[in-house]
Amino acid sequence: MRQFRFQCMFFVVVALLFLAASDGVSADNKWSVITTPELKALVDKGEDLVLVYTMPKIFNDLRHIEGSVCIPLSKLKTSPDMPADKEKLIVFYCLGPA
Amino acid sequence: MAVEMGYKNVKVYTEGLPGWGKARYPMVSQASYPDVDIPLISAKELASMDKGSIFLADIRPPADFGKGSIPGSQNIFLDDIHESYASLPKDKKIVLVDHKGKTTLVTGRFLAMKGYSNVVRLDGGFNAWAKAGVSAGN
Repeated sequence: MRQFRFQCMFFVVVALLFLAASDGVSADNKWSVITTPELKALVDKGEDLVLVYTMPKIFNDLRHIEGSVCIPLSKLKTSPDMPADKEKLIVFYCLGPA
Repeated sequence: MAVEMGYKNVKVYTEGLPGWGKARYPMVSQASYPDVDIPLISAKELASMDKGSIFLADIRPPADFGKGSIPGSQNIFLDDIHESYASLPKDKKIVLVDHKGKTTLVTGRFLAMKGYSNVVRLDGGFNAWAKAGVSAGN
């Protein structure tokens, strides 16, 4: 019986994690996924956000989304381009699921 | 990482640059690299090369390089290569090594723009080297 209860709990946890992931939200609700139309709508609306391209500078120079700043992950903690306001919307992108 | 830094409103655009380009939304280009071929070499070919005539440039992050690397390679981190490329020799064949071979084409073309004409890339990157059974180490 105890083993059955453990199996049920395990199933519920896995299901919750799956639901969270499928809804585009991280398992701990700390960040969420944004789609192409959603991002375009925010940009067109002039939303106050920081759009961050995390690829190295030589990739950024070649091509990037208009209005984004280049901050490779290794520079994230030291970059002056990261906003001081911790509530500000930050959208990260890279080369996608290549 | 941004969440760890205390940012509370973080989103990830997982479709990334390809998704934006596919939708034909505006992109900016500040440089164009020569459209040259940067030949691929296999781990087996690399193992049989004369080490004196090549410069093995491992462009992975220092932390990954520290965990294991191809003997004789040097860490020229991709995030800084726009500043550090000049330390690469022009009189040797440069072999670019990344994780999986996904970033070396652009890197090779960047180097070609800077006058490096003898650049090749390890097919499959360090992962392929490790898989090929060649021992890693510094």
